[in-house]
Amino acid sequence: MAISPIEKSDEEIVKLVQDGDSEQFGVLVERYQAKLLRYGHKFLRAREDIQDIVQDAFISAYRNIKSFDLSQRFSPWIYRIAHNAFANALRKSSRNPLFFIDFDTLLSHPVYEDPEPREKEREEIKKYIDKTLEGLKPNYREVLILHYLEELPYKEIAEILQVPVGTIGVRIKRAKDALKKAYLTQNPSHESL
Amino acid sequence: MEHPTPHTPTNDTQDLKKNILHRIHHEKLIMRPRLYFTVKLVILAVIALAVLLISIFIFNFILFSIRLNSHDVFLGFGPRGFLTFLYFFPWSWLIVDLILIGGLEWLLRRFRFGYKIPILYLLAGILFATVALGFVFDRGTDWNDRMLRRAELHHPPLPFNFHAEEMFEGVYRQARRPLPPRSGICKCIIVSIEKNVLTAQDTRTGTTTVLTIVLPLNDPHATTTSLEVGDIVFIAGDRENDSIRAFGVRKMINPTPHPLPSTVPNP
Repeated sequence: MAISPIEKSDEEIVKLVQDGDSEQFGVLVERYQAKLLRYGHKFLRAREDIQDIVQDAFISAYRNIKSFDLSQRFSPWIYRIAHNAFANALRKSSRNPLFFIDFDTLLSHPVYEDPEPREKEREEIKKYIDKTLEGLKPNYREVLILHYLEELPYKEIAEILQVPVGTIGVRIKRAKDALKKAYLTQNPSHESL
Repeated sequence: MEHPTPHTPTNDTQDLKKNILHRIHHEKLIMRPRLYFTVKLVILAVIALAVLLISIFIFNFILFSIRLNSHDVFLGFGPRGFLTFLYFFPWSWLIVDLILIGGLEWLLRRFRFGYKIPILYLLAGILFATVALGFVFDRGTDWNDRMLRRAELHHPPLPFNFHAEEMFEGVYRQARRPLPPRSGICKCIIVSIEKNVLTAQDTRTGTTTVLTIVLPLNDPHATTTSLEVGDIVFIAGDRENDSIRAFGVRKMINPTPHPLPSTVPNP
């Protein structure tokens, strides 16, 4: 009995697409479109062309799918393509350059990732992200979205952003501090985060 | 794992999938073949390797130039010697090399192993590798000496032919860093020793300029101890007419690898 596409892993579907079954690419689109659109909406905020950018990211993924290494996970790969597309869109529309010397990538940082972040903390941060995200720098915004909203582990975020894993840890910590500061500025009556 | 997506109604997402598949089929979008990515990777690797080799060569050349001109001797002459070493250092070559190393770092970060290593560590690794290999190349082979001879004597072309010989000759003609005329730095043969005063003959130009070298008393960087008539010495100091008030004297155990041939005019 043939395995339906729903039961197949992303990587197995990619293999089918690589072998010429382009219709299977629709399954990958179905699996990732909501996630990428949500990431785009959070990362780029109030833009009307996010759907177009995500669509172009999928088209780019399709054109380059033969470069995907089947021994790796598909999720960071497609997020990476979408992230590049969002970053390019942001760079085009912003007067401030998005790329600058990122001092967090210069040295290694010890990595500590809580294997089971407290649900309460996660929910709280999600809530604050919704309210305060716009005021954060893009490099803080992206790690908070990917870790707390998309629930990706540090290793995958590091692959998406192409930085050392230790950098993700330190950037998330700084992003949380910045989030707290921004939130308290907006809501002076709240004291805890 | 799934979250509500308030900004993306279901119809939109259905449209997205339809649009993408429509574009794939109707715009006849083709997947780039594996060969495209392999060739791209190979080109990137070849460029990275070429940049690495050029960086190693330049460091080798910098070390050779310092050795050839005995400028490393300045480092044994105390603080003034150190400043003189900095003054004569081939900075332009170093700047070119650092730019290449920056480019190499950028290229290596295109590879998966490259971005996993913190920038400074990768940079330190590249720097260490290029300096160490440049040192080994300079000290472990006679390539530099042969190329210098070739450049100065205009030898027949190298076995390979893409104007490389002209390029290398041009580079090696810059290896000697002539001192300003009548500077207080010279490589001399000692003619006589009288307490803390040496009489020495400048060996660089082939002329018979005789200099009086006055050494400070009780200065470990400039002493006549262990010097004998006939020794070749490297002297650094302040020149006044034909006299040098030295702040450093070093006996040359292994003089310049290849003294400038007498047939070639001094630059």
